[in-house]
Amino acid sequence: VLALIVVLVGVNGLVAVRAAQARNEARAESTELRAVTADANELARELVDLETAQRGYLITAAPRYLTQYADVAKVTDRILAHLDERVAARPALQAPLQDLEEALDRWRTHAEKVEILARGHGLDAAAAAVASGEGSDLFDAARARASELVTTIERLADAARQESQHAYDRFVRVVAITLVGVLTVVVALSVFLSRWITRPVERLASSVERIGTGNLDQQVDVSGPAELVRIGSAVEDMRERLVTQISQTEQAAADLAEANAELETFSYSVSHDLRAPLRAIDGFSRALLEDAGDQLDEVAQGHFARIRAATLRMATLIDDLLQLSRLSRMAPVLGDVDVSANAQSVIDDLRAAEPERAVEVTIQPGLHALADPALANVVLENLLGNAWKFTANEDDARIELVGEGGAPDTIFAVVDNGAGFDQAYADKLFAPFQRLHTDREFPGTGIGLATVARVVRRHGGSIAASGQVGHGATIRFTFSPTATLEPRP
Amino acid sequence: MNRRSVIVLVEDSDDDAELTLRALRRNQVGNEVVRLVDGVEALDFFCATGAYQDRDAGDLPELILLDLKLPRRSGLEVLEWLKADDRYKEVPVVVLTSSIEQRDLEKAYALGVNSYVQKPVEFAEFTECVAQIGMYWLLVNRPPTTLS
Repeated sequence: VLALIVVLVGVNGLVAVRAAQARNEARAESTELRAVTADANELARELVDLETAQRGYLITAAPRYLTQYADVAKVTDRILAHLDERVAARPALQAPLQDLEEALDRWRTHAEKVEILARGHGLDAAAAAVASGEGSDLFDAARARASELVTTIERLADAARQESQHAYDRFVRVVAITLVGVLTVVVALSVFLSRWITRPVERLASSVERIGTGNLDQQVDVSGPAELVRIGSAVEDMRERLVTQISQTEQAAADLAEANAELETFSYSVSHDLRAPLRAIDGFSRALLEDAGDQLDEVAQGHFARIRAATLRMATLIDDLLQLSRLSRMAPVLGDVDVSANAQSVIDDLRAAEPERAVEVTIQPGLHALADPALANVVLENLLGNAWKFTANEDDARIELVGEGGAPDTIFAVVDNGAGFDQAYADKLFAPFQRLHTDREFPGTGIGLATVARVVRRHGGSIAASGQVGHGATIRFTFSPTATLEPRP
Repeated sequence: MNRRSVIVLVEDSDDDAELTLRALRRNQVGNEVVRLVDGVEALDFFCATGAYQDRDAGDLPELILLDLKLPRRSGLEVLEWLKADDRYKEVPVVVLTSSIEQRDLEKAYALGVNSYVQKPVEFAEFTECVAQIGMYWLLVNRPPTTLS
């Protein structure tokens, strides 16, 4: 493109320079020709003087006319010589000048013959020669030739002026064409740049923006200059990889969801199918006791009681397991939970179930949490239920619920002065089926704390237990993902 | 209580059926109980087709106790048929099931079940539960039409 501009400007520059030269030459020629015209006009005047001098002599025969004639003739010759020089380079003028010179020579030959005649034979003979009109004719012819020369010169001068004008027009035209040409090239260049670079860059930019906003459906347009094609291809590769990875992730999520749904169905089936035989065991044991109880001794009746207790324990286990598995898959729906009020309601239920127990319960008022209300209740029921259960053997049973820090980063603690546990087993507390007491000491399934821990972790929170055998337990927990739970010394 | 009124028990488990019958008897419910073992038999009975083609289809039971997990046609299918039928839709249907599955619960209520009860494992509780169902639906509740 630059070469095109250079060539265009170069060629047009040459043409313009030549046009300018031509114009200068034509103007110089025109000036020169004006000088030639002046010479020619002077010559015409000198011719008149020459003829006047000749005629004066013929009329008066005074010798001063002859002198004058000779002087004028000299001037005439000088002008002619001058003209000869000037005309040498101009063939168009050579012929008329030659004609003039010849005509002048003929007249001068004649005039000098008449003069000689006048000198030798007297003026009468000369008068006769004059009267013949030959001299007059010849002089007229010379003058006519002179004016022809002037006319020719003026014509040439006109032509030179015209040439100058034409050269000037040409120069202007070439400059204009050059300007238009350069302008066209520049416009074409900008259009080209726009088409070939700017637009692909814009397309690429909007593609990248689209990908940035997560719209990965449209392919990236890879066109334009090589560098853009490389960038575009890289972006397109990236997009394809993203699409692949996202579809893999979505597939994995779908598989997981399907597995979860299957697990749920399985859990319910298991729960249903395990509960049905338990109901039969309990029901028919009871029926047997009712129908034939009087035929059984105390030992046999005790065995039936054990069968039924075991049956109910298994039913509780199934229910707890089902709840644990359900809570594990449930996404918490967060809301404001009045922890103090809910805890009080749990304690009220516990007191109602065992009105004979005297437990001193302290619940810090105004505790709130950002948690799923139903799940938060599961946590409180299990923790307070545990505290209630493990303080059963204490004479001055005490249960305390406290909170440190404002909601939603509150760290809660359920403190009791019950049986406690060995701190060495603190980690095992939150695993399913892990029990630190025999069923005879404290009944339970070992799923409660596992459920609590799972609920807390589903919220992004954390939980820790500390205790000492015979000196109670403290379970600290928070629903907040940002609160840190430092283990207590 | 009308002596001719019938309770239909749709239950695949013989144990559960026996326990339910025992619980009903314990609670002095004297109604005739027709026990049907699966969804297909239940639909045959209600439509008076197949083994029950001699039955008068207009002879409506007073209460239907329906298990959900049934072989062949499920309890929900039976419920759907009952609640879509012009005559049967007024007969109270109590779902008696071993486990409460949220989807089943929602579906059953969407279909128009009258009550949904989980069978307790402990027989004493189970007996109490059946007694309450019988008491409520046979004595307390008033159906739109008087069955005779």
